[in-house]
Amino acid sequence: MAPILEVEDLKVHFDTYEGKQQVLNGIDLTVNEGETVAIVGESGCGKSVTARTIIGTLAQPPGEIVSGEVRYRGEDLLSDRAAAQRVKNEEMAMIFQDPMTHLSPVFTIGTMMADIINYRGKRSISWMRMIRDAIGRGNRLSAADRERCVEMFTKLQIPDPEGILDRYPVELSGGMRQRVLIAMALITDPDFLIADEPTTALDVTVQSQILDILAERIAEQNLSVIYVTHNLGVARKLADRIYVMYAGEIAEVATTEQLFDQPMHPYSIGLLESIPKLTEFDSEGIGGLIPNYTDPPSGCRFHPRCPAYMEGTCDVEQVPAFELGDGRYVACYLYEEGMDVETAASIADTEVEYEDEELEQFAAGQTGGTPPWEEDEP
Amino acid sequence: MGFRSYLLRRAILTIPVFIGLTLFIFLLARVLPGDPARMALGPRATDEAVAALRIEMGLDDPLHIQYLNYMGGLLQGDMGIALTTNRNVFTDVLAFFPATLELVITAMFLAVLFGIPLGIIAALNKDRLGDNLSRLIAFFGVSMPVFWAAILIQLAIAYNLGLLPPSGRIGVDRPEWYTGFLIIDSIIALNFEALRSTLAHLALPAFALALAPMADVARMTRSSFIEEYNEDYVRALETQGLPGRLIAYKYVLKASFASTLTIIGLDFGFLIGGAFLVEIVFSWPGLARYGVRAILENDINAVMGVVLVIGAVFIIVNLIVDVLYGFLDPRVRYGEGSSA
Repeated sequence: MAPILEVEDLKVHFDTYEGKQQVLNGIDLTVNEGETVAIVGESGCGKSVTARTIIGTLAQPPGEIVSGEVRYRGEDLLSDRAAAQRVKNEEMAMIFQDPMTHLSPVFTIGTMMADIINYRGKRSISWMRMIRDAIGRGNRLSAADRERCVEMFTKLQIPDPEGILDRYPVELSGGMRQRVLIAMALITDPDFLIADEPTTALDVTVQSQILDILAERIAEQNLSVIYVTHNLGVARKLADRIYVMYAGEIAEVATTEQLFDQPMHPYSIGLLESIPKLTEFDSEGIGGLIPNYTDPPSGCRFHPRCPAYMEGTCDVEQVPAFELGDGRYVACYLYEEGMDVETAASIADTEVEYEDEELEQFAAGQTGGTPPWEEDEP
Repeated sequence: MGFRSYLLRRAILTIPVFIGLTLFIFLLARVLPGDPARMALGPRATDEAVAALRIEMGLDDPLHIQYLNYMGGLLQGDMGIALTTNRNVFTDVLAFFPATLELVITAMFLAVLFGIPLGIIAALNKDRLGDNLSRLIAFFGVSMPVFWAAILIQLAIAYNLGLLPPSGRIGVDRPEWYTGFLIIDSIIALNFEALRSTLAHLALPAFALALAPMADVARMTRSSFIEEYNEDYVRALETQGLPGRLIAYKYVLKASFASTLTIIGLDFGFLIGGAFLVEIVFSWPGLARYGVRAILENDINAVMGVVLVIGAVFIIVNLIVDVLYGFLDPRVRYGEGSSA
């Protein structure tokens, strides 16, 4: 499988009143052709910033891309703006987190679909054309395009797919709006899809419907996908590979089976243990909070919360990613380059032990994001 | 709920507002100090004559009967006799109001025509040259007292340069009276000489009057445009790869237009009342000037008539604004405040 997207050493800072926030600290990420990659991590660890930087909607300022490359089929999107524009227009699409705010409130679904189908990728549009559109001539969906929309809506299980074109977003429920957003992203037949927590704003039953639909679309259109989520269950359901992200750094990269079978990075272990299990009342978790980005911890950014923290080692230098025997990458000094999986697994078992007390701290101190165990399992 | 029922509901709601307006004006006129009969006859009239006129004017009737009589008169186009012109106020209003309305509508048109692009340019060049230029123009517009601006404009363009006539509504024989709006009347009469003269006379006072609302419109357009541009759906449209011009002038402009519309409606009512300064500077035979004279001469019927007309126009303009809200934003039609 050839890589379709390669992100290398991406660093993004944010200018705020408190100072420069070093939000992304050297992200490396690869998505292969036809692969679904999930980025998981707590709220506020830089997942969405990564997604936005890739598709080019990062607000600059306050954001600032300090270094790094985002190569899409070999072209660097950060240095070549024309290529970035073309790729964004023709090959990438994005589904957003909150369907309530990501649709224009003052136009019908049909108008938006028509604009996307007719004008997507156009560099500019003449005033004449806009005036003609405004007074209602031109820019209607052609019969064929209308058919395409209806077909897409049907595939996304939208009831009354014909009538929805004349509806305003305000007339639709959250689940419907999210389906419409998905339709808008997919109608242009992209190769690459970025989904930024598209089911977070929805209730559990709708969430699982949308996920099923999305999985089906991904398979059918052979999409390469980056799926951003803080919900491990969702990642498990959709992803081929998972990037565990912590505080702007990649902690662990593994296939979905590898990660759920045996997480190696202490943070991954903590995340997985935070998932409530039906058989036990006590789940274990990670104490503390995501660090302050203006003055992040030296060395491994996870070390203040890490149960296996080694003084003098972890807090000195940024940890390189070690490739283990099974091909996964872990950025943790517990392991060594090329270490075989059994050895690594036994280290993980013996060295990384979360205590209940830390869990309680985590629950008490948690203000910034939702603790993992409160999230809805799809 | 469809657009039509929204429209109907809004229209019906204006009826009680209008009744409230008449009631307010009527009561205000009755509690004002001074006896209308005495004022009509002058200080040297005998008490008997004044008492006789009071009875004739119905001032001895109980208040609610007086109000009903007043309303009955209004419905028949009778607003009482104006002391200053000795005609029915209704006739005066018909004679003077079109001049003011023509001036104010033209001014508002200019304000919107220049204000909105100015605001958009400012928003799209936020904190850059375009924004600062537009801000400068807007501050000039709001901070300049309208009569002062009017005098300066009149001096410079009419007297010193002699480009446009300094005063009056028209320089040639006026076309036959159809609507009282000289632009419309001269078009109906196909009298293009009169049309040209009308527009020439209208240009300066309308421009002077337009300065302040133009600044308002520009500032309001700028701020709501910027706010709307930061909405999530604009990011979504950007990732869809739509051209920037389409996003800005179709999606953002339409969504941000509601607050501009509010300002337009408010300014319109304000201009009708405030037009008298410009009308006096340019000797414009309008209703505002008529109203000021009525106030100075204690002509109670004329004052009531003028206030009623201005109030009614205000109600109608705001009705139009409300209807346009509903037209622009489906959330208003569905009675929902926000997208949530």
